Amino acid sequence: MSLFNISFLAPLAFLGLLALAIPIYLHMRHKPRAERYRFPAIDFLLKADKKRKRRFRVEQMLLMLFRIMIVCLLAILFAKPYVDEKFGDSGLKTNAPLIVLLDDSVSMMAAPGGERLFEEARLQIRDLLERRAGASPTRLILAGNPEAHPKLKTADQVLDVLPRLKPTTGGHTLDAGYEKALAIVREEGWNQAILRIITDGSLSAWRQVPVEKPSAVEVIYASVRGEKPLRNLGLSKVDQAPGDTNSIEVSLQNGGDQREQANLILSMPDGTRLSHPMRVDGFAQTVHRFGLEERVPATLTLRLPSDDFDLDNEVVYAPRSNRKVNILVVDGDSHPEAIHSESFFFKNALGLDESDLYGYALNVVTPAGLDRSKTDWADVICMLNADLPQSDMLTEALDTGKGVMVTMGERMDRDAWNQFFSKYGLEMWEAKSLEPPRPAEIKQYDHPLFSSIDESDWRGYLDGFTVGRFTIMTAGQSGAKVPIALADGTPLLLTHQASAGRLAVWASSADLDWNSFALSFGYVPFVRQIVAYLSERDENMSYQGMTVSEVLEQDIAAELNPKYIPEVYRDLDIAGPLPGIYTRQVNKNTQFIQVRLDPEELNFKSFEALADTNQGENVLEQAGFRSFVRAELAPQVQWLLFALILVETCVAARVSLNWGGR
Amino acid sequence: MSTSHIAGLSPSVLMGIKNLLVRARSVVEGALVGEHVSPFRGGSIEFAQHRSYSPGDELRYIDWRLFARTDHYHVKQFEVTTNLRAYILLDSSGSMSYPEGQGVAKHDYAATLVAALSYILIQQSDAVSVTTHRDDDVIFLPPRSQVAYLQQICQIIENTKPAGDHDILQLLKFAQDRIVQRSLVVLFSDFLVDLDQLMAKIRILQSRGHDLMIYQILHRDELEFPFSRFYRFESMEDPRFMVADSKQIRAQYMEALQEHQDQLRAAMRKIGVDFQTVHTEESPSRVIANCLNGPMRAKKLRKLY
Repeated sequence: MSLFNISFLAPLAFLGLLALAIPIYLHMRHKPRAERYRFPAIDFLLKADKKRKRRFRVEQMLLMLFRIMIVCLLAILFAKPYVDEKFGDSGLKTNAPLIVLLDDSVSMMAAPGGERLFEEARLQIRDLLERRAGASPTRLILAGNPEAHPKLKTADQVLDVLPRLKPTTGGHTLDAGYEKALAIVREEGWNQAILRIITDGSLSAWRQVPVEKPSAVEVIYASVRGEKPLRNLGLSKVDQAPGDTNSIEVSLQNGGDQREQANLILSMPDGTRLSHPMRVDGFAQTVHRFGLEERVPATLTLRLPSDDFDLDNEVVYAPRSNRKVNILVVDGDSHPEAIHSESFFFKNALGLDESDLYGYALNVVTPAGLDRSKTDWADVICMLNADLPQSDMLTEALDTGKGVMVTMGERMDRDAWNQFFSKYGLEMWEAKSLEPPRPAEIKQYDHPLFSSIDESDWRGYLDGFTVGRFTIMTAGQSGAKVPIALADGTPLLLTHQASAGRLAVWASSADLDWNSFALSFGYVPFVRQIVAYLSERDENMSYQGMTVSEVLEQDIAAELNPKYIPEVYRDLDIAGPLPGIYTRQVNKNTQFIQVRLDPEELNFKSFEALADTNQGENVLEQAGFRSFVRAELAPQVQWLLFALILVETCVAARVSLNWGGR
Repeated sequence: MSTSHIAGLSPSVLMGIKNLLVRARSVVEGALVGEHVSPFRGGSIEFAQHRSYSPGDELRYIDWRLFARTDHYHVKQFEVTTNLRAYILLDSSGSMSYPEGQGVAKHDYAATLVAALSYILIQQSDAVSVTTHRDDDVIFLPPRSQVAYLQQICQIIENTKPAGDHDILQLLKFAQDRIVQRSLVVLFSDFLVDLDQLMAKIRILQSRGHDLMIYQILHRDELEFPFSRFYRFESMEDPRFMVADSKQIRAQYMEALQEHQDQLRAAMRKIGVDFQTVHTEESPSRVIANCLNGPMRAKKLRKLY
């Protein structure tokens, strides 16, 4: 709510104007009590009374006026008035040194009123600079690249550059630019400079809002978004469901408190369109999983309805893999696939008879049935508590890029296996029992095995998982990784990158004989993940999803070859890596990269939204920012109020003395 | 009690003397102490003074003895040759009862003066008439000069309680109709009336050759308005009232009063009437003494013959 140039943070306080009834009531009810007195010269009194009555009425009206004014001023005070900087020059010394810190992150491309915030910011800067003398000291700092314009020294120079400024797709925060601005003030030795921060006002604009500001700098924090909240429902991430090649997970972010229903449109390359209605009940983040009957097509386009920020409404998804994984399970049990055998639990984790739907082709054999034709067919060979009749076949399989997994058990011939393991620097020792059983935990969350599922989810999956017996494995100088281990660091899972393929050794059983893993929530995703891990060849394993910021940090934007860029970006005048699908050549291999916007940039929650909970306001005040000039206006109002209270008190006291004295 | 003590009695002490006649005598005795001499003369031809002879004067009034001593002609002049008739008009309207509580009421004070004046006149064998109100009637005592009449006058005045809105104008109209011969007319009132009407009636009396002595009796509260509280002021003669803060209204009241008094005095001076404002804290003896010896009074008395 704004009145003239003054806005109010808490306009509801004007409900307090209802209290105006009090002075009016007092005024109407005021009847001074008088003592009777018989007096002869009543004529003279009546003659004087005409003047007196007039004066009395004026005094009473003044008294009521003062009281009304006090109620009004109190209401104004509680409504927290401030002067919106965009309206005037309040506090701006026209030709004082000025530094403009412009937020050029992608969130400035929001267009709540039809025009993008970046254009609005550009206009504001132009208005600001045109009021200044052309040679007045002026600097321009971009949040995305604070060092971009070191040669700009005057208002005219900044004005020249202004039309050429572009926002970037990066998710830059203002922190670095703020530090740069303070450094400039120190270097120039300015005694009093103005730092005008122009941003969209999102919470994500700062990594950490400064707690204090130097006394020499007057910081004016101008949000160009206005008071209306931004509506934004965006696609923050689209990825394959963990361990399920036929499903995708769509992460949605409601970054602008949108509450209407929305339709998510999924478009296939063959023209098929699926419309998925969603209720958007004010959630902040949510994940929808879509299972597809057949293979996920080569590309899949997802679209959301238009809103204030249109750059996150379309994502083109390229599935990680369309290839079915052939898995050869070699079970040492004499009755493979019987209930409680290792292969039963393993197969169960991969979908049992329906495993084909999940992209797996299973073949369960005994060690005696192992032959070369089967190893050639397989992408992954799982040796579950099995003898090792022909270690050469496993070595060949690894050399040709296949994956091999070995789980332990009583049937293992240690010498034979050590012959195989020794080629990869591993050594197998005796089995050891733990009484009571001990929990195991993930030691390396950054291992590719765990990449697609959040760390917190993994912790939940492994809750209650204990190991009662295991085989001691040592890795020596092999370079093998130990992603899962006991609390004391004893390896439970070892992964090793062989010449072409991958080797994984699970130092305990795959069934319930030695541990409780097969009954824990983590068993199914773990088995699927390790199968996916072992089956990935070079060209497949190079698939990668990155955010724009990660592309910028790794400085690989120039190496990216666009394969598909969403339509909304094609005609956009914006710098930085555009979201889309790219390829990149790494060591003669083609890396497949899907670039998406930083999720923080989709969040348009503002400080004003926090102000409703009395936090955002404090954050800005503590930072010493003058985003509202209330800090200046309020004392004036208070002094005015105090003065009026004083006057009112004097008038009231005088009237009381005159009318109420006895 | 010696007369010198009586002369210094304050009005409040005097009013403690319940008998009006006694009170009047006390006042008169106080007034006649020292060099004061009564200017009221009458009953016989008495020598007053000599005057140089002017052609046309009667030869019988030439003082031949003085001619023998001074070798100049002088004629003798004589004072009043007839009995004096004094008509006293006492205002007994409601406003004269102020103050109603403590203090000397204006009516009581005026009654004392009336009685004292009557006492003096009757002692000199002059005839005194008193006119006042009682309820809705006008009480008129015709002029008499017997000493016993004084008792009757005092009794009538004492029994009169000021009330109602019968003001001095009504008495003046009554006097117009009743007083035929040239007389001394003495008025005691607060004169809180319309001045134009008042002066019209006084002028009529004066035009008929009456000698007028006018006493305005006011209380100090009326003159100074020393109130400081919030009062509902009510009229003593009619239902009018007003609610006001005394302090706030004082200036305007004083202004209105001053204007009234100035107009009253100016009007009296203009027609040459002996007018005096008396407040109830003044000594009645002093008022009577001033009345007897005032220059204006002596001048007027000479006009009587």
